[in-house]
Amino acid sequence: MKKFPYAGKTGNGEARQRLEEEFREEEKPEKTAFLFLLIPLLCIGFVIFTIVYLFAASFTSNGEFVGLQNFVKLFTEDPYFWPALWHNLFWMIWAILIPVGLGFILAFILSAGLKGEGFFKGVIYFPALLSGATIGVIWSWFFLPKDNGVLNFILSKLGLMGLANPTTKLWINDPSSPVPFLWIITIPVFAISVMVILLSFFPKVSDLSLVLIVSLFGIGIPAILYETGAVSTSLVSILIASTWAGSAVSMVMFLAGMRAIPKSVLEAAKVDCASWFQTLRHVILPYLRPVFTILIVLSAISSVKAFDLVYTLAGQEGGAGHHAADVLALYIYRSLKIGNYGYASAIGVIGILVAIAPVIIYITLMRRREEE
Amino acid sequence: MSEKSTKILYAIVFFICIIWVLPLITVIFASFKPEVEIRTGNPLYPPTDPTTSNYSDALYEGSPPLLTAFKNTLIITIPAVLGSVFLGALAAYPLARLKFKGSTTVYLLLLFGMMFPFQLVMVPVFKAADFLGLYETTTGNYLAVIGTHIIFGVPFCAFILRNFFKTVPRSLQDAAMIDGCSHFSFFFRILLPLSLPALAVISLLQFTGIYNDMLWALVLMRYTDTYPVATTLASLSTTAGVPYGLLCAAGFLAVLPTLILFILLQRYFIQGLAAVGQ
Repeated sequence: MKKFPYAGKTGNGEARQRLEEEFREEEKPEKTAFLFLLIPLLCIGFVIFTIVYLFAASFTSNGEFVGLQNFVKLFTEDPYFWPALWHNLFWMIWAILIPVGLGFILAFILSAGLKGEGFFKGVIYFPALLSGATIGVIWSWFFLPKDNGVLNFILSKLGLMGLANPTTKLWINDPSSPVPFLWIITIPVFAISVMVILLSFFPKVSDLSLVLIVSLFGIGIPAILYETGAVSTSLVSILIASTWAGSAVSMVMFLAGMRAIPKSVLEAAKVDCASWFQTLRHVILPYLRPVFTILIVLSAISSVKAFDLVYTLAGQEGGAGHHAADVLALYIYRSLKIGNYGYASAIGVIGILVAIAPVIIYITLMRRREEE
Repeated sequence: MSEKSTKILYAIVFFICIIWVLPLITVIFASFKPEVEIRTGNPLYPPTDPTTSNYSDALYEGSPPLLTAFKNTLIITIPAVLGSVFLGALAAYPLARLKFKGSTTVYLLLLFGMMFPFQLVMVPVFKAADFLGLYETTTGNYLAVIGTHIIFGVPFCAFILRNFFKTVPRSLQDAAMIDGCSHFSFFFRILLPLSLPALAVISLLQFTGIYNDMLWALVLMRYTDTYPVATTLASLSTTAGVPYGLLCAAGFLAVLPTLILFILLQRYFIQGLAAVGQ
């Protein structure tokens, strides 16, 4: 590194300023940058290495090259693979819709400027900081399959036990279609979520198509998935536990987004006598589009990470004996534990294929923001 | 807004808060109840005959006892947080301060490393740790988990700190360099001390992340008496025949450090979270 020739000397003339300018343009920033980045790049190099290794190992079994055999076995013979993949995909649909929609509802209520907003925010935010294992222990007590399990107790006191499993009292370990109670509390949130997301991206959509799309994607499709048993009480119960922890993230980001809406725009809406729904539809939601975008992408990525909560609540099989809440990461872990490395790697490769699109979209979004 | 609708809003918010705290509150209640009351009593009522025996069981009797787990958590967390934050700062500096060829590539790699679902590569990480002989000894188990946390934590720390370093005035650096400061001495002597608040926030986030992780210990540790808190909790929860009282007490003990940090430092947690999505 060259030394500034006037170091320590006084003077502020034109010549000195020009020298300073020249000095700022360094000769070899690459060398300095490289020295700083050496160890961090080794770390990232290791991450890249694991991915390369994963792809390579997915073509092997017991250390021998077997071509596509692992994948053929996964796709055609394995009874657990497709359910696990489907549960991950449903987890993704859920994570994109429910915590985002619920977070929006919470943020919208809190944006009214109630006293004690900080306290409410804290109460709702706190679970977001807990580990999957802790959330699992808390909710295993809540969903306890006994008469005095918290949820069973509340439902029977309210005379609503008929909406759950009155005889088996199961939640986490019930592989059958979602019980009516889960329909009642989740379908409305699905519908509202589809509505707010749609309005945010397409504010000019007509009322008729709004109603049609919301009833199809917000009510129809979830109802079909529930009715056909494509998802189970077990999976939905676990997703509710994850929503308890996850909604706060979107709530906080929506609140920040709402604060950034210029006051003048909201004033203008008020002067024009817009109702709260009109303000929401034509002002707030379109303004929040970037927040919706980033949340949808982050939720999609987080759904592939599902592991801790399922392991703690449903055990390493994702529901003893029935795999009703099995997910890819859990299946990788099981294959790893029995020393089936090639097979576990093949499942990991499928997981990467699921995750890669949202990861790339996130990187593109961040890069675009960087350039602005 | 009319007074009536404000009242309705308060009622809604209050109701939501009740639902939100209910799961945790009932766990706290159960953790102070004797086993008989847990099996037969009303789960929504506070304990009628409070006992702390669940806590002493959880701390000393469990397998492994939670006291050991807390000790393991400290052994793992402290070096992992320091390591990942320091390396993250090293990576953040050139990205925030230097114009060099390839900086965009490095930045994109960091973003990729930050977002990549690490759960999917547990096989290669396990194989690497096993290859290095870290699976066989307890010290090796600790080292494997610490190392993995550092490696996978660097991108996140670098990303947050890069954004912070960008806010440090350029003129400060110019002044230091004109007086003969090299990049390294500027980094160590001026920038790092100046960034202590930001380093504290990122350490807090890293601490929470590492404290909450159960996967790496589960995969990389052969000996259960080296498990940190989260992993111990998961293994207690999946072991048949663990008393509910003990489990609830262990759950609340695991919540406690987070709860204390959150009450003291709520706003930093929320700031850090917002940073990822900005």
